Amino acid sequence: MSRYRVRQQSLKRWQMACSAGRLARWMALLIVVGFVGCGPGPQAEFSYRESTQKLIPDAQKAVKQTLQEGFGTPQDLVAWERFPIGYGGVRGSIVAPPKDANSTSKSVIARLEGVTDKISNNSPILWLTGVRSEGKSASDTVASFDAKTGELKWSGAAEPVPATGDVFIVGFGRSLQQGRSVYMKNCMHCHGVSGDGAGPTAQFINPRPRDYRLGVFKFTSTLSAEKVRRDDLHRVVKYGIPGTYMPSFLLLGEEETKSVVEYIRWLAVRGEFEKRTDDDLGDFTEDSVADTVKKSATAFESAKKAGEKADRPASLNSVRKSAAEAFAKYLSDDMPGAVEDTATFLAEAWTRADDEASLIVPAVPRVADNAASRERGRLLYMSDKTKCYTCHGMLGKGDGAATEDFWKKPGSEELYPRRGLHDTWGNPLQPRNLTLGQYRGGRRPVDVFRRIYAGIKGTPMPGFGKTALKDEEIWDIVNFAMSLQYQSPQPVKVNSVGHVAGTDAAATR
Amino acid sequence: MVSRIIKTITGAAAATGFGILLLVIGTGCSGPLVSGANAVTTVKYRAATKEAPAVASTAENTAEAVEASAGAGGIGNLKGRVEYVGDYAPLAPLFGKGGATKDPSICGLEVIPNETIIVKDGGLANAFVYLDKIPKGATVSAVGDPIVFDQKVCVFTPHAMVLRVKQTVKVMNGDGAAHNTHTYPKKNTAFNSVVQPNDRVGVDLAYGQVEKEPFSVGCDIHPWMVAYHLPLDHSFAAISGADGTFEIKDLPAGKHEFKVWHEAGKMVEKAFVVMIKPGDNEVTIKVPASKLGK
Repeated sequence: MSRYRVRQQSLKRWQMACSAGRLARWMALLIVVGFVGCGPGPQAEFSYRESTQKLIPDAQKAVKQTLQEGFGTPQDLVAWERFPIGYGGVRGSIVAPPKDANSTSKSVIARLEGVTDKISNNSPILWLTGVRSEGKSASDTVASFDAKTGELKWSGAAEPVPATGDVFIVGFGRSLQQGRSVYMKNCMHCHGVSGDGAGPTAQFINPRPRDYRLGVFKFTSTLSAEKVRRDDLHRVVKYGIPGTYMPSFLLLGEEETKSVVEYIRWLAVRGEFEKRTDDDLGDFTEDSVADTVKKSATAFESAKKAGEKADRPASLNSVRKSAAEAFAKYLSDDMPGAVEDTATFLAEAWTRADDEASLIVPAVPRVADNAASRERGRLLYMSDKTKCYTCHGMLGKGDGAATEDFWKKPGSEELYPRRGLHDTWGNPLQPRNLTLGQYRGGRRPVDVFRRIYAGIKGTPMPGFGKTALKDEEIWDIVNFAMSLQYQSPQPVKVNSVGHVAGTDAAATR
Repeated sequence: MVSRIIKTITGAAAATGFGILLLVIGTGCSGPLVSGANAVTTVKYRAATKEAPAVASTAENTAEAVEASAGAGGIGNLKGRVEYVGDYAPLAPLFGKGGATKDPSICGLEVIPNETIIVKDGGLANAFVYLDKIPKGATVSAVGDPIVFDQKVCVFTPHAMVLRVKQTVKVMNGDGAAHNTHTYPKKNTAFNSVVQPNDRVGVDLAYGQVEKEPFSVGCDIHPWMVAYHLPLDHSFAAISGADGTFEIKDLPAGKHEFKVWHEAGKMVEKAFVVMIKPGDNEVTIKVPASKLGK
C-alpha cells in the first residue's frame, strides 16, 4: 500500500468521525465530562512522613489517627492547648452574675485578659469550664461587650446560666486561622502544606527550604540544647535569609507576621510529634519485618551449612502476623503513655525556648573591634583549639579540608554520595564563605556571636561557648570574621595601643 | 475532488472547534483551589488535660498481677557471653601509626583501630544487651556518679556506653587538638560542642530521654571517630567486654526479653528470651556472622 493511500484512508476516517452526528455525540460527552470535572478544586492535605508510610498498616493507622486528633487537617485545624502556641483569642472569666440577676438577660460581668478592643460583636465564645462548656453552647457569640463595666452579653440560648469563676475564650483560634491563611498564600509554595520543605517550588531551589518537621531551626539565639525563639522566627520572616531564596516579608503586617510565626511553630510541633511517634515504633516497620525474615533465613542457611539442627525460617506472613499482634499489645499498653510523653517533651521544650534562661546573652560587651582584637581572633581561628579553618578554610572562603572529605551518614557505614558536609536533613551543606560578608542568621555582631557560642543547630557547626572559648575570645573571632569581607586574613603586627604597627599597607596587604 | 476539499476544510474547522472546547474546559476546570489562603477553616479546641485513659480490662490486670508475683519470686543475676559464630579475621586498622589524614602530628601518635567488629576468643565485644522497659517487680537503682567519655589520640573511649537518663557524662579531650563531640540521638536533643584541647575537667552532657536503640556519636573534625551511646531509665543493661562477657544484676526472677544490638548489624535480636531464676544465671548469646553483615 502506498503512503498516499494510507493518508487518504486515515483522512477519510477522520472525516467520518467529524461528520455531524458523531461530532455532536462527542461534544455532548465532552461537555458532560467537563461539568463533572468542574467540581471544587483539590483540598490541601497534610502529608505524612516517609517513616509513617513505612510502618506496618495497623501502626500507620494509629499514628495517623493520633495526628488527626491532635492537629486536624488544613481545613479543620485542631488547637491542642497542651502546646505553647498562641492560637489567638481573648481569655476571660466571670467575676459576677448579671446586675439584674435575671436569668434571661444572657449577660455577665467578666474580666478579660489581654487586648479587649479585639472583641467584636459576633466573635464566637468558647466556654472552657462551667455548665455552658458541656457542648450545648458551642455556637454562642458575643452580642455586645462593654470594656468599661466588663459586661458581656452573648447571643445564644439563655440557659444554662454560667456561674462566677467560669472561664471562656472569645474568638479562639483566630491567630491560627490567620497564620494558616498567610502561610498558604506566602509560604506553602516552598515550605509545603505540612511544613515539610517540599512545596511545588522546593525542588528548583538550593539551599532547600527548611523542613520544619524535625523541630530544628538553624538561626536561633538560644543555647545549643534549646529550640528556636519566637523572636528568631519573627526576624527571619521579616528580613529573610540573605544568600538564600527566603525573601523578606516586611510587607506583611505585624499581626500577620506574628500569626504566621505561631502557625509555623504549630507545624513544627506537629511534624516533630509525628517523627517522635514513629521513632517509638521502630519494631513495627515494614523494613523491620523484612529484616526479621531475612535474618531468620540466613541463620537457617548458615546452621544448615554447619550441619546443625535449626528451626525452619519464618515466613513473611507469619512475621507480619506476629508484628501485628505485638503492635496490638503495644497500642493498648504502651502507646498512650508514649504519646503522652512526647506531648510533654514538646510542650516543655517549646515553652523553655522562650524563657530568658535559654537566650544567649554575651557576658561581656563586644570587645573593641581593632587590629589587636582581629589578630587575636585570627590566631584563635587558626588554632588547634577551635579548628575553624578545617571547614571555613585558611582564607575564610568556606573551602576547608572538611569540604573535600567523603563523610559517613550518621549511625551507618554508608558514605554520602557527595563530597563535603551535610546537615541533619541530609542536604549537602557548605561552610559559610566569610569573605562575602553575607550572614544568613543576621549580620549584627551579636548574631555572629551566637552562631559561634551555640553552633548552628542541625549542622556540623559546633558550639564553642562555655566549653572551648571565653566570651571575650568569641568576640575576637567575631571581629576577625567580620573583617574578612574587607581584607584577607594576613598576620598583622600590633602595637601596644591596639593599632597596626607601621604603615596601613601592612594591614591590608 | 472539490467536494473532498470542502469536506477536508469542514473537518479541519470541526477539529479547531473541538480544540477550543478542550482548551476552554481545560482552563475553566482548574477552579479555585480550596486549599488556598481564602479557604474557610475551622479551629477545634482540644483541652490540655489528658483524657482519662481507658481502664484496662480485668483480664489484662490479672495477667499483670501474675507477672508481678513472678517478679516477687526472687532476684537473679545474669552472667553471659556474646559469641561470634563464623570466621573472623581481625579488621585492618583505619590508619597506621602516623597515617591519620587529619592532624597527623596528634592523631598519628598511635594506630587508629577499626572497632566495627572486635572478636577475641570467639567473644564479640561492644554488643549492647538490654531490656527496653523496666521489668515488673524490679527495683530501679539510683542514677550513678558521673562517667567519663574521653577522646584520646582521636579515638573515643569507651567505644560503646550504656548510661542512665540524667546521668552526667564528662566529655573530655586528651588530645592537643579540639574535638567537636556531636551526638545523633533520636529522642534527645543533639549535642554538638567543641571540647578544647587537653580538657581534663570535661564538658557536662546529660540525656533527658530514654532511647530505644543506641545512637552514634561522631566528631566533625575527625571523620573516622565514632562511638555509641544508649541512655536508659534503668540499669538492666550491659555492654559485652573485650572477651564478649557481660553481667546484669538484680533482675526479678521470671521471663525477660532482651534486646541485643551491635553496631555492625544494628538490632541483632529483638527479643532474646531468658528465664531468670533466683541466684546466678548464665546465658550464651550466639551472633552469626551473617547478622553482622559478614
